[in-house]
Amino acid sequence: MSIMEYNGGSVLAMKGKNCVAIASDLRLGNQAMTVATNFEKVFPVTDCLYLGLAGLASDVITLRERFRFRVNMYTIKEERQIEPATFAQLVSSTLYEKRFGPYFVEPVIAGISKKTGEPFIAATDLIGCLNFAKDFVVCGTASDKLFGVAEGLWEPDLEPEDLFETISQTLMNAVDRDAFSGWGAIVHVITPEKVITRTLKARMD
Amino acid sequence: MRISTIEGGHSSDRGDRSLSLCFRSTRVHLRGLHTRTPVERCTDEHHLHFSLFSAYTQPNRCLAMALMQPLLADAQLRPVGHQFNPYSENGGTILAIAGADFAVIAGDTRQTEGYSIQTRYAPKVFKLTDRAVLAVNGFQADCSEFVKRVLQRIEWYRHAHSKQMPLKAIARMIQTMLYGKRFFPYYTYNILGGIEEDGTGAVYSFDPVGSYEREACRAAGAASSLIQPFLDNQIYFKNQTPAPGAAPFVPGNLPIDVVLPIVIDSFTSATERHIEVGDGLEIFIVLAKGRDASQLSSLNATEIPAADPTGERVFVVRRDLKKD
Amino acid sequence: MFLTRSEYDRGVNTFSPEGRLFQVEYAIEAIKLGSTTVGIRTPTGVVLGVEKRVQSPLLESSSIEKIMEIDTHLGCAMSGLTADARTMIDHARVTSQNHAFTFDEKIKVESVTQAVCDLALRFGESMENEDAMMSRPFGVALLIAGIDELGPQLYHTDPSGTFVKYEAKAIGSGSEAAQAELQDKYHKSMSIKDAQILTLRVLKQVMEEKLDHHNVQLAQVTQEKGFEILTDIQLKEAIDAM
Repeated sequence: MSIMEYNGGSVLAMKGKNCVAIASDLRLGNQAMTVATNFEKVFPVTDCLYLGLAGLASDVITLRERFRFRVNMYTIKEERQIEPATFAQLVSSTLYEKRFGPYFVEPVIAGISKKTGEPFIAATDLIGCLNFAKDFVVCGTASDKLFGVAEGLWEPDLEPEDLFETISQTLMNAVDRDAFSGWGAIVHVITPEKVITRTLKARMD
Repeated sequence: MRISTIEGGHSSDRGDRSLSLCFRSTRVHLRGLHTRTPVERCTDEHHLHFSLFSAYTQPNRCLAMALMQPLLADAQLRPVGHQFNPYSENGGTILAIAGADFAVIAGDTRQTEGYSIQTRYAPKVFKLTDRAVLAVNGFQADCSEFVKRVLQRIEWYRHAHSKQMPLKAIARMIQTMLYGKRFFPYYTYNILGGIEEDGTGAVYSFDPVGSYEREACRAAGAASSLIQPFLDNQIYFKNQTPAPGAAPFVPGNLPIDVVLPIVIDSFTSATERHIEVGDGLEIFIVLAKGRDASQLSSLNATEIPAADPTGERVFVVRRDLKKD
Repeated sequence: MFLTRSEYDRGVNTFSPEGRLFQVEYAIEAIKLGSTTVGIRTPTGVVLGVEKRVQSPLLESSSIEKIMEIDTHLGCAMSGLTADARTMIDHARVTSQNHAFTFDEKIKVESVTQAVCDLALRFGESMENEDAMMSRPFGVALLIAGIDELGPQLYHTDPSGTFVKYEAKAIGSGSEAAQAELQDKYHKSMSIKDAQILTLRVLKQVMEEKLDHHNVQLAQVTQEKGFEILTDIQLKEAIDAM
């Protein structure tokens, strides 16, 4: 049993037209046993930047707090909000610090640049190797399923509502075929104006 | 001291590929250290994603290592062990979808071993009778052997009972053939598609030891985990709700001009994200007796001649997939 | 005549110079000693009828079993050395079950008949590598009735392993008279009821005793109910209707 599959869970982010979406399932497990069904894995970093963390639950929480600290320090020192691309570098370097004793977490970043209004998504592996995708990024125990469905459903330049449908369907159908993910899902669609957060009515088994 | 219980083997998870010592379970008797034959190390070359093989795994490696401690001191003195692995995994992926009066059975044509491509054209989908098509995936040698045997049994049946074997009879026969090798299985995942006696399209899927089920659709092979949830969504309408007042979704009733693009998209998606899938795509289409074939003309489909030209018809569409 | 044959009577597998297998021919003769058995095919099913010779008033006629089930869609009536039929019917049952197990469908009537006939010539001196074979030909003929995708069918098998499909067939001691009567009265569009009555009439003609529900047995294979041996009540009804 891999440590990456110890608690289960999956995260996914997609780019749309002037918007991005990021979603996660809600399961927290102890191997095959489901412990909680309200374990969100996506956290706000700024008002238009979100971070998803799939992997070992204790590291998810630790990293969430670490990034909260480091982003706060950045905001205070720089006296401005962190840009998505900058935050991605922060995530990468934070993870690479622990190159030989890594956090067992694969992060996904989704946001919109305050400066340019450009949608941004990225993901890294557990030691911080960045992947800037132009379509979608996935991670977690259902990652191969997510790749398959996303590759089939995603298309360029989706409007926020269509992007919401696409990411929701991708996530739900993928996690329904994964024993370690599921038990509800949460989706955030980030537009320049607002963030739409929806909890999905999904299969609970 | 006898360590006949110690067998090297496959680690049960991918993360752990540490070296393990292999022993042949019945032959190694340790009487005195100095009499022992030289030792070879054995690494896990192949990890078969097939639960039956967990029987080959070492149940208590800690105990094994503890027993080995005195032996590890001198590489020369470790017991020899060889284990021939009769299986390999040759990648590729297959899928089948049933319609009301047709069935579509498809497979890519790439054959791999590890990271190498052995060939870009190794067919995985075979016409069995006028109304049955079989897709096989897994270990190529077992696949071709199995298809040969199925074809032979179908021929024998035709001689004994003077009729073509019905689809459900082929399905049951495949189960008995697979289960017949329950303790040295064919490492094959089979999907059978075609037309039933009542004229409906059908898909039967099998596991390597013969457990089988009739379904509306199924994907198997290397990229099954990528394709199956996509088919759940597109064919079974999972997680979809019909618009208010609209008719409820019925799986297995989609028209052929909806099904074929789903098949093609599934394979292009799998090709994009799975290194073992690509090169070519073969789509077999079985049409029920008397069904209009005009929808296939735009697809450049070639008909495979039937034994009975008035009955079911089988067409094949060949397309390219990315070769990188 | 018998004197000339004696040379070739010994080996069951020995042809006479005229090209005959006497033991097989004698086995066919044995059937003519058996009680009369009749089978009639109709568009909706097949009827089988047998005469049960009740030799003693103390004999329980219900213990005479000359019609047997092979499968839900297959039945069989016999004449001759009925004990031999056990082996054949056992083989037929196993074959039918095996077919259902392997192919998830009912075996065809012809296929099960073929399987039974494959047994018929497996007699003679066994070779060392073969397991126990039979020492002599079967002394029994069967009427195999059944329904499959080709509709109701009736087959006759004899000890030579030959099988032939019939519309109506009589075997056993009264077979000649019975067959003549069948030829006269049979028509293709009979109902099952007609066939029951014709079977009884034919049997009645060739039986020495007065026909009643103790000394005949009727069975039928229909699309709706498959193989069934008629109950006493059904049999009495048929006899009354005759």
